[in-house]
Amino acid sequence: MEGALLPIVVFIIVYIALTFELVNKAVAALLGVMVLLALHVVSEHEAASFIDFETIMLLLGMMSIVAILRKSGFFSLLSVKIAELTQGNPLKILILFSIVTAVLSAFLDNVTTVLIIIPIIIELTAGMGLDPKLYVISQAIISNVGGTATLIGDPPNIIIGSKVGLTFNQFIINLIIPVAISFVATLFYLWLTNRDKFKPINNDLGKLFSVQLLLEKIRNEFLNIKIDKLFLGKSLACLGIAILLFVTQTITHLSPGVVAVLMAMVLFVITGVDVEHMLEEIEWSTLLFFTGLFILVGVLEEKGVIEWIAHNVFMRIGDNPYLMVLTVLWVSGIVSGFLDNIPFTITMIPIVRLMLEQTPIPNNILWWALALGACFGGNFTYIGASANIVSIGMAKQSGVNISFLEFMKTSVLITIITLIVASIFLMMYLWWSL
Amino acid sequence: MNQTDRENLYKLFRDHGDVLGFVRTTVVALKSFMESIRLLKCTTSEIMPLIFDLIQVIRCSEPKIIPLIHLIEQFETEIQTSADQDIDTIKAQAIQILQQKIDMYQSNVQRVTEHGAQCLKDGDTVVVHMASSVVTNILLKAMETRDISFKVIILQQNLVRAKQLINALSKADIEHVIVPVYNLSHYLEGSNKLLIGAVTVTEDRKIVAPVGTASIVSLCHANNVDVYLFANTLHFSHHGSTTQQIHCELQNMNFEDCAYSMVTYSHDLVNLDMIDHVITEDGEMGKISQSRYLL
Repeated sequence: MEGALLPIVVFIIVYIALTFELVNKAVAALLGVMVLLALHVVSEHEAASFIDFETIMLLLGMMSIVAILRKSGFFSLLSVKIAELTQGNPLKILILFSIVTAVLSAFLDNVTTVLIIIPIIIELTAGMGLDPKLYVISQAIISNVGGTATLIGDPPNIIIGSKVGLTFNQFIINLIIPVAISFVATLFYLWLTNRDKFKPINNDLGKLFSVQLLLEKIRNEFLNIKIDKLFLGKSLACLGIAILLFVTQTITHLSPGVVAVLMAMVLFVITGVDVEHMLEEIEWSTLLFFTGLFILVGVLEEKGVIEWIAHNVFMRIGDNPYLMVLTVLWVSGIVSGFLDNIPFTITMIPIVRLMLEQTPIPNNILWWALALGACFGGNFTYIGASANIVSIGMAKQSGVNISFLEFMKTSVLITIITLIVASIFLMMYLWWSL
Repeated sequence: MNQTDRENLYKLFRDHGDVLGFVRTTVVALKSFMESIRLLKCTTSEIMPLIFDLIQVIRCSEPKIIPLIHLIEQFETEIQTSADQDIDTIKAQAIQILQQKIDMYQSNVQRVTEHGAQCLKDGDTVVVHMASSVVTNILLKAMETRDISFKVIILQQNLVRAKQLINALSKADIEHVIVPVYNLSHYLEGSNKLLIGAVTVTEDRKIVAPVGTASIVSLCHANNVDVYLFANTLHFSHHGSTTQQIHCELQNMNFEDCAYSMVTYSHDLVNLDMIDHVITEDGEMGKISQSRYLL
């Protein structure tokens, strides 16, 4: 581990800055990289070689597709239709919005999903005199659960998929069962602990009347843009083709990153959107943050720090595969609840790789443990996942204040339940595989 | 209905009023009433008290939506004849009566629009503030059915309402200019008509109208710009302006280091005497007819 002290110090400082949000996350990561470059710990060419361009391309492509889809009015249309379907029934609001949130998060990023769902759910529940907090928290949690199901659903999965070379189909086939069970378990827990808040309203004429007026208001508010059907059709067709190409990756041999950027560029051309304006919608700071983190972890890996952590922390648990899977799952789960799960996943990938070199585990089960832990664990606290932070922020803007502890009161038990579901699934999967 | 639910409902009425105007809000409210009766699950003995409770709540809205109240009161009288029927019959009757009320109201509105379109002359420059669906339709109707050309000055106060009007006028090729409401003084000389709508015309010769209407009407009145009010007679109240329950709110404000409380009213009160022409479903209403309806 010669010359490792400086990269370790820089990495810890960056991690602290990220955790406590001392500076912008992209600035923190890139400043760390610049310090290492300035002190000649790593050269520019070496640094560039650490960047996983597959991940960056996938993120860039999906962000572009989502930006165009948002402009098409598709999300507004969808959320208004769901609001209409609920007819103000509190349990229907929870279930239908959760299904939409889970499905959208599986195919789009979680932040985009909550940006679409949270305003309408606050409008609907607050207008009905219900407490919007429960619904905001539930949708944030569900977005993290739903996002776990696919390669493109959550940043940790994108990173694992790109760095390890796992396909879209492998993710969905291996993760859909624990995600579906966790989704149902989450809704059941929410219903069980808040039964009195989910009473039907169809015997209350006053409430029914308010809901009808509210739905009309929501239609006026959220559908006040003209929906260009051709534009919407093109956008949905391209998203559909992108998903089809993800699914047929083993036949086409096109990586998800290439598919995403390709379809985004096709969309830019066929919809004739103002590209400059659309590019402003892309979260460049997130892409720069990823770039910086890849370099920081790459340097640690090169200096032998990752190998040291793997040998002295994770490999000390021995070579029992059950114990290894559970350790990766629960450590990822707990750490992701308090630290950003993106840098954590980037750090864990080389560690898991070393663990697998020592004790091979079939069917990529250790990778699924990392994905489930990092994604589900983000629900422990509201700083654990970007979707949580965005949801709480949007609720605050609407006058609904949710404290750190209020969020945890609901989220901790749900996270533990989902991690237990994941543990049982992985243990059974491992038992079946060995 | 508890107090919080009532306040939420009244706020919903105001929100709709701000975006759609109170003519469309009245129709939306009646349609919502119909839909909620359709969805209601209760016993035969429960339905009538539930309907009467809701009517009572609607009666007390802030501000009072007089056309809605008139129509709902008519509905209340008519539905009582079905009180001893079974639940399905009561529901069907209620929905049918409410649909009749909507049709009647829309017919009145249509007639106001037709009379209103006759008020515009070739070469007019009309000022429009917080255009309701009635005023918008009058402008469109005048352009469509009469071979005249006129110009519209849109006073922008509420962006949503202004946007609706701009889109409608652009589509109909009606010449228009959009100016901030506080810049009206620069356009008074070239204008000859101000078109407004109202929630209510009260017994003591006042009108309840969107915020900002009072100062615009005063300015136009003082500068000899004819003020036209379009309101069908269902908007006429049998009570005075003090009983209209205009919503009043105390807002806590902060500006730099200064914290203060500000009182805001949801609607303006305008003296009817400053209005030169009142157009109803029966055409222009003279002062004598007004006094028959009012005091």
